[in-house]
Parts: sequence; C-alpha cells; structure tokens
Amino acid sequence: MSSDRNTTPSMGTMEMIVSLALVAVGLLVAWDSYRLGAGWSETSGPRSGYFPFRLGLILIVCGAWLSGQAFWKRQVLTQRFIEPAQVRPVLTVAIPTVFFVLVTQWLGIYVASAIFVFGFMIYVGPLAWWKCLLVALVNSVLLFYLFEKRFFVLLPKGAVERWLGL
Amino acid sequence: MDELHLLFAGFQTALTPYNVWLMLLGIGMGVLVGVLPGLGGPNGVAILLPLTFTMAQSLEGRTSAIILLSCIYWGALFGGAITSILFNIPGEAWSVATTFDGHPMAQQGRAGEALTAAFTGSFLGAFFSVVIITFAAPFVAKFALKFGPPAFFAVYFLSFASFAGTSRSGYAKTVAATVLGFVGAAVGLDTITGQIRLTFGSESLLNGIDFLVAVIGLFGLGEIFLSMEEGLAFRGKSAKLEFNVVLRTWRQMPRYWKTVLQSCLIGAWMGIKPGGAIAASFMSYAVAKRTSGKPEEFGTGRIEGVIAPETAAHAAGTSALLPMLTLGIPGSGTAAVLLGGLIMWGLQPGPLLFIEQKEFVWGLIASMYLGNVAGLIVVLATVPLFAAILRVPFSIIAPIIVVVSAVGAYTVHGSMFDIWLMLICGVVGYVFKKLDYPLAPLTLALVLGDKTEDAFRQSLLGSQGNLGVFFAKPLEATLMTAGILLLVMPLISRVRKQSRLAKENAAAAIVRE
Repeated sequence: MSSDRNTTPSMGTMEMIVSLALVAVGLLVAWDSYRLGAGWSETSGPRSGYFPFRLGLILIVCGAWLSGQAFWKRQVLTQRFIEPAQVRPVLTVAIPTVFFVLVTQWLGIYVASAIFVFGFMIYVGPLAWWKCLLVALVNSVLLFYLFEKRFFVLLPKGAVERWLGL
Repeated sequence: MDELHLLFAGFQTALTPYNVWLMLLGIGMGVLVGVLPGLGGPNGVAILLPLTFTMAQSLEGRTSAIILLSCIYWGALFGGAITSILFNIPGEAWSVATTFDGHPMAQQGRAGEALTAAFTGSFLGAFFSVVIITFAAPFVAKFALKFGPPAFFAVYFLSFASFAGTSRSGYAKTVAATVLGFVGAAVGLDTITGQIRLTFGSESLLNGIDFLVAVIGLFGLGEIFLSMEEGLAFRGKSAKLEFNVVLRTWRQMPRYWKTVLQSCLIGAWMGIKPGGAIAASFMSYAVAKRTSGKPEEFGTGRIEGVIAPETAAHAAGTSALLPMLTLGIPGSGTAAVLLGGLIMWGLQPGPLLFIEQKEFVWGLIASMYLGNVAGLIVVLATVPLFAAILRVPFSIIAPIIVVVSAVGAYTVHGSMFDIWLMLICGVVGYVFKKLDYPLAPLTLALVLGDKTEDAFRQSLLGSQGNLGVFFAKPLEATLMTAGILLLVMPLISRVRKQSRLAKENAAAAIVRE
C-alpha cells in the first residue's frame, strides 16, 4: 500500500460500504430463511425461518437507511477513515496476524506463535535479537505448560512437537 | 433473615484456602487484563473461560470457577483506573471519565492520592451494590419464577429496546448492530425444529457463531488494530504508592460522603440496565460536577472527579450481575461472558438458580464481598508493578495479546475455524468502532439471541400465533409498552425536529419571496 495522499477512503465511503454490506447480509439472511420456511406451522408454531426472516428484513431497512444517510452526507463526511500514515502500523499487525493463523494450521500454535512474536518484535521494536528470541520462547513454553500440563486443554500441535515427543 | 443465614453459609464456601488463592489470582489477572490495551473485561474473561472447563465438573469446582472469573472481573474494573490516572489512557470505556481529573492529579504529583481515591471509591461502590444484590436478588428471583415465556420475551425486548432508545451511536446503527448479533446467534442448528439455518452449506458453521469467539475478536483484536493506529507511546507518570499517602487520602474520604453516596445510587441503578457502567460513570461525574459548588475546578484535578466516576462504574459493574443471576439477562458485556460461562458449565441462570443451586449462588455473592476487599488490598499493594508492566514496549505486548486471543478462541470448541472467525470479528470490530456502530448490543444479542427467539416462539405457540399474548397480562403489557416507547420515541422526536426545520425553511422561503 502506498502512502500517497488521498489513497485512503473517506468516512462517507466507508459508511457506504458497510451499510451496503448490511443490506447484502440482510438479503442473504432473508433469502435463506424464506427457503427454510418463514411462516407458521400448525404443529410447531413459527418455523425455523420465522425469526431470522424478519431480522433480515430489519437489517435490509437499516442498511438502506444508513446508506441513504451516507449518500446525503457524503459532502460532510470527508474526514479520512484512516490517515495514510496510520495504514502502515495497522497493517504491520494485521498481515502478520493472518500469517500467524495460517502457519498455526501447519505447525501448531506453539511454533507459530514463537515465530510470530519473534518476527514482530524484531520488525517493530528496536530490541536486541536475543531479547526477542527469549520472549518468543518463554511465551510458547509458558503457554504449553499452562494449557497442556496445568489445565489439560489441548492446543493445535504440529511436526515439531511430534519430533520432540511432546 | 433467611438471606443472612444463606450468606454466612456462602462465606464458609468462599473462605477455603483454595478459593482465597483463586480470588487473589483472579484479581491479579483481572488488573493485568484491565491495564493492557486490547484486553479488557469481556474478552479477558472470555479468553480465560475455557481454563475453567475442567474445574467446573463438580459443584465445588463450579463455585471455585465462578469465584475465579468474577474476581477477574473485579480486577479489570480496578485496573481501568490505573491507566486512566497514570497514562491518561482509559483501559476500559467506563474509566474515560476518570481521566478528566485523575490524570491532572497525577501530573501535579498527586498520583498516589488519585489512585487511592479511585480504588477506595470503587470498593465502596461495589460494596453498596453487593449489599443490594444480597437482599434484592432473592426477591427478584422469587418474583421472576412466575414468568412465562411471554414475560421473558418482554424483559428481553425491553433490554434491547433500551439500547436503541439511549444509545449515543445513532438509532439505525444501534438497531443494525443488535439485529446483526441476533443473526449471528441464529446461525447453526435450530434447537426447536432441528433444522440447520444460515450455514450456506459450511460444515464449520454448524456449531454456530460462538459469542466468546466473537467477543475476543470484536474487542480484543479490534482494539489492537486501533491501538496500533495511535502508535502507542506510553508516557506515564511513575507510581509510588506510599502507605501514609493512602492513610491521608482515607482521612479525607469522609468529607466526600455525599459524592460517594450519590455515585453509588446512580451506579447501582444504571448497572441493572444493559450497558449501564459506561453511562453511569459519565453521569455520576456530571452530577458530582453540578452539585460540587465549584464546577469550574473540575478537570483540573479535583479528587471528587476521580471518586465519582470510579464509584459509579464499580457500583454499576457489580449491580449488572443482579439481572444476570435472577433473570439470565446480563447488564454488561463482561456479565454477558460470565453468563455464557454458567451456561457452558451446565447451569441455567435465571430464577431457578436460586432454588436449585443455592450453594453456588450464595458462594458467588459471598465471594463478591471478599473479592472486593481482596481487590482493594491487592491493587493498593501492586500499583507500581502494573505501572511497570505498562512501560513494556508495545512491540512485545501486541503480538503476545494476539497469540493469547487466538489461544482463547481455539479453546472454546477446539476448532481451528474459530481462530479465523476471531480474525474476521477483529476486522468487523475495528471497522464498527471507527464508524461508531455500538458493540455492546451486538454482543448481548449474540448471547441472548437463542433465548429471546425461544421465548418468542414458545409464546406464539401457546397463543396459536396471536401476538396479543405479549399484552395479555399487566406485567407483560407494561414491559412491552415501555420497550415500544423506548424504540419509537427517538423516531418521533426526530420527525418532529425535521418537520420543525422544514416549517422554518418554508417560512424562510416565504419571507425571501
């Protein structure tokens, strides 16, 4: 993402996107509920779709109203949703988080979190590499001890744990 | 005095060495959670909830587990004040008002005084509300025993309507957020007909959207993204809490009995309604300012300006547990998570709890007394420690909070899908916060969605589809009418305002012609 001026959306644009998304969700919910049956059944009263169908309708109305509001106020809502200078810091945490979750699926949460914590600290903080390594390792070992040993809650594990025989 | 008898039995349950240790542990974790950005009452308790699953398999275990969780809650309430006063960063939304006078006091070198006043006020507020819970809860529960499905639906309806009626976020946004929460709750298996709803063929969605996962994402990750924007450089005042400062402040406290009392009343009253703690702290601050005689000095470091919001926030946070225990309706986000915990342990919050689980309920109430005493002592003793934690660079804290959140989301059902769900909720939470969509009613709807729908459908089934069932008896009719009024009032006042504006415009146009 470049940090040029005018590259970030305005509040009005974001309001518009979110309210239209609400309409879309509302339509989806109403459609699926209608498919299931949104009416009255002689044996079990309101059908499965009865309640959600009406929720969907309310959501469509609210979303439409909000998008109309965003449209009328688009000249006023020119303030940036996010300042260009803020995009980078937010992405510095958001992107690695997505990778962390991806890697967790392969390597288990202990290894993934060690890599994530270490990488993040090296990249963001002006810290010595050995400090980052220490924090990353201590964090994973502590998690392992607390969850696996102390409270008997199993977390996702991967090849490294198998290799270590844990 | 049946209550006192039961309460003493409760003290016996709560005062075992193991439970006292859990109290101290809970308070410590709670303060930590309250102090760190990105962790707060709701998601802090949500993350730690799965740890109690193994604990909660026996009756005594369940009492210990709720003591641990509720003490995390008290700790988080205390912790919010520390960051507000020392760093001018409210750890929780209800401590925003505490920054107004608390931080100026810290800048004048009176941090110790401000902290002592905040903690003592918190303690008094919580104590006041616990006393109310002790005597009012059994009464409310007895009353609620007679509630049928229509009455329960009416109570739910009123709680949600009060959000729309009083929210500062704008009407349509509040309604949209609430409905979105209901939609999330409806996903998955319909417990009445056994049909599968809104999964769109996804197997992972069969279990539904767990509100614990949603809370961790909405509040935890969303908050981390927001904190990153700010760049987060903590520049705080150092905190040394000397014992003689504490004593000196305590000697001053009786002078402010009026502020304390009115804040207690405001807090206890507001807390019973959903989302009350935040409103209570602001309201109490405003009232203290107006009744002080020197409103212009507020904001420059008046001690009442710290006492008032903290006392009210704690009173509200505590009284939020009254409707949770007696009606199964949580008065705050954290109370909602606690409620979720009870349900997961196989307890059914509501009037029957007071009959079927006497020991559990009274153990919890007794632990509220003890937990707050323990909390006061712990926070007074450990402020420097927590202030030091805040000086740890954010580049260390942020990834660890992300990891802990992911662990918390995974452990709810042991499913990888929930971590992805948490991530999505994090983005939603971030965007919603920036666009001022309220998260509190969304969470509450996620928690209560199924119960509200069940109550609605059972009522209609009983009445053969006649909506009049909600107005058939005086109780239901009153609650429903109050709810409808709350829902409709903002619309009417807006239409009025607009028609007045239109008239004025028309008049102006005529004048111009």
